[in-house]
Amino acid sequence: MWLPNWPIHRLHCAGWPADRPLATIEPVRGQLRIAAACHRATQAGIAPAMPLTQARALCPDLTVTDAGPQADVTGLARLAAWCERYTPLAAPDPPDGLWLDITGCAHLHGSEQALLQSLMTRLARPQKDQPPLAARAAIAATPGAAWALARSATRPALQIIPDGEERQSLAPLPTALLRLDPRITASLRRIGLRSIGELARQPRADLAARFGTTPGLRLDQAFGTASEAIIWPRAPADWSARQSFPEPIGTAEDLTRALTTLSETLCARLEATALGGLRFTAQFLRLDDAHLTERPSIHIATARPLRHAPRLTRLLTTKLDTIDPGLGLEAIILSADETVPLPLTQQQIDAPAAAEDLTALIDDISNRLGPDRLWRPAPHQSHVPERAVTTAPPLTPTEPWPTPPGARPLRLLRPPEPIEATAPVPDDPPLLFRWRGALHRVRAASGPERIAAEWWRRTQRDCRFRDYYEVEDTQGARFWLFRTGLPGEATPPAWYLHGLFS
Amino acid sequence: MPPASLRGLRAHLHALAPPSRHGLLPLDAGAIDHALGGGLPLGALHTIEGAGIEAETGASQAWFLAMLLSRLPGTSPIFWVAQTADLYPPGLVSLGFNPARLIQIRTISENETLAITETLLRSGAAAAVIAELGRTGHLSGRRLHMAALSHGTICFALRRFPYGRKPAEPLTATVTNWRITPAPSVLLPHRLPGPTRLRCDLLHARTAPPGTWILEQEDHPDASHPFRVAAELAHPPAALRRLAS
Repeated sequence: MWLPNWPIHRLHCAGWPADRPLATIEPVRGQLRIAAACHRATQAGIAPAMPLTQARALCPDLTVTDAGPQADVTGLARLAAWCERYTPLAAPDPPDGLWLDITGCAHLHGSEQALLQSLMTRLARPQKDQPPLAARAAIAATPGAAWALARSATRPALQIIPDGEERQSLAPLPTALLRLDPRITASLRRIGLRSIGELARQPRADLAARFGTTPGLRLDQAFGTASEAIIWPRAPADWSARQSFPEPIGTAEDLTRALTTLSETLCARLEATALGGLRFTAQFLRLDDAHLTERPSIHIATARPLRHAPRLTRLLTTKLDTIDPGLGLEAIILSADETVPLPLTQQQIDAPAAAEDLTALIDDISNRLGPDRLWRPAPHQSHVPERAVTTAPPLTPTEPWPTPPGARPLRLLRPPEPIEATAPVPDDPPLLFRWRGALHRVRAASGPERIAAEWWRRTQRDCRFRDYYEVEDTQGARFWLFRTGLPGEATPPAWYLHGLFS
Repeated sequence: MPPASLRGLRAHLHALAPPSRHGLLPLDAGAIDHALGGGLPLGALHTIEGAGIEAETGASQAWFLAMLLSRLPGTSPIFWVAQTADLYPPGLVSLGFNPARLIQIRTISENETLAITETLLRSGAAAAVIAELGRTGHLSGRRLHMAALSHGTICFALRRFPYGRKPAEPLTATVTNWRITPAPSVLLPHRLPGPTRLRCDLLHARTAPPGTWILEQEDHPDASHPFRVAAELAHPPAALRRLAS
């Protein structure tokens, strides 16, 4: 499929006014030249590769902006994802094309002609605040032939070439449609080879000696005698279930019922091969999806491999309120993105296993809150207090906790809070200190415990050691204070409160 | 039917009080267990308050909870649901509590804490759930208590609110209500602090009279219990105690 004015369409979608001439510019050898122009600008005589100054002279009210090849490619990838409602294999073909592999998909729409018509009608229809998209498409047995036919000005905008007729159809087309380097095309034209048919009649050995192997390879690819690989952005998930609805659905009950059916289908298939899924995605294809919007989806991650349909349904339905069905959903795809072997086990008849309950609970909560807000504390080999604890996923067994080297508080303030402290002797614990506005008189203190920063991670800021004291105030509350630095150094010692015992 | 005598009234009251179906968590501290009739009932909501700055930091309450939970049998996990993740597991190790059982959950609002706590209690997969709650009212407390009853999971509401702010209405659905404050320790020579002491006020209990105890940490590493009752204050009147039994 060819989108002749893709960069301009993308800009119109991004909010540039469609009622004024618009063009994109790019610097070429130090000179600003037109990269693409809208149809109003083209009518005014502006063509790509024209210098900007000349274009301005032709059309004084021309709006120009920098060309964004990267944004164009990103937009194409989105459009390819939108096209996945017609086929699971859709890939962007930068700068302005799309590959769709419709093998085995045409019968779902009746015929290839019906599929192509449906696709083009939907692309050309103006979507919510998006202008219609001009597109030309061709269906052929080889990618090379389809590419050439879609871009040929002498052929109709929609065409289907039956298998085996590539040679006849391509013969009158110019060699520029063979995806060759422009310099090669220019040299071919210089020696009088203008059409693909003329090029195909030349002896291959001479062609290869003069222009390299590319022209021959492209010819073979277009005629189907050499194979060609297309990189699909998303390999179709190995394990997926898809349900299309003859009438769009939108109510929560319908969605829940559809998800239940899909979960059962998918889990039955997983069970038949003794697999369990770790990550699941449910994608919702809306009727009124604009081409460039992300499609709504639900992502589920589980702590242990899962193929229990009711649990999967429950995890999916709890997130259902994040899905906006719009005018209605035309299809739902549920896929298991990551699977691992999960042996078949005997279900306990009398009582459900406690481990299963815990896994279900952890999955439920981590999918509600996000995985980083649920953790099991794990020890870490470090004597710096704030680095002695790390987090682990909730269901992994942790190593045994070592006995701490000294007294450790129950609450640790991160970061330590500065306090005003009065210490009579420089090397002694303070007699009184003020923390958060309240004055605490120290009744008893033990320490110091000297903890130095880890020299292999030393930064400018915390390169000094800390002297920790456990102090008890007159109420009996216990605090973990530390002092950085020593008297007589360039920076005076400072006191901090790092934790609370009781 | 009007009760004929005091004995009849007592029997009537006992019939009203739900029996502790799920067993008890003994504190292994003779005086307190005796007053509570064996220990804290499992499958119930217990509230632990602080006072003053403690109500903000929640350190003494964590100390008391670590002492209690280290006596909880089984291997199923203990969940700690809080908005601030300032709990420091190495400190729990020295109190005899194994943090390997602990799973921490960080929430962003009090409502989320309540919802998660209720889910945990209703699943039955947790051994205990600790929820750090500030302004929770009566109705939420009632919900938590019913959820705790469903599977016999013990639930502790750790009341924590900013210093100086007035606490919210008390959780009346709770089975026991404690206030834990630090108490000055018996000093060792050279101004060294002695074993940690806590003052535990049992403000309210369904089946026991209020009481106050001073708990002291056992510093000896081979001690069979992590704490002992150092003193019992404010003996409740004998008549009240008889009524409770």
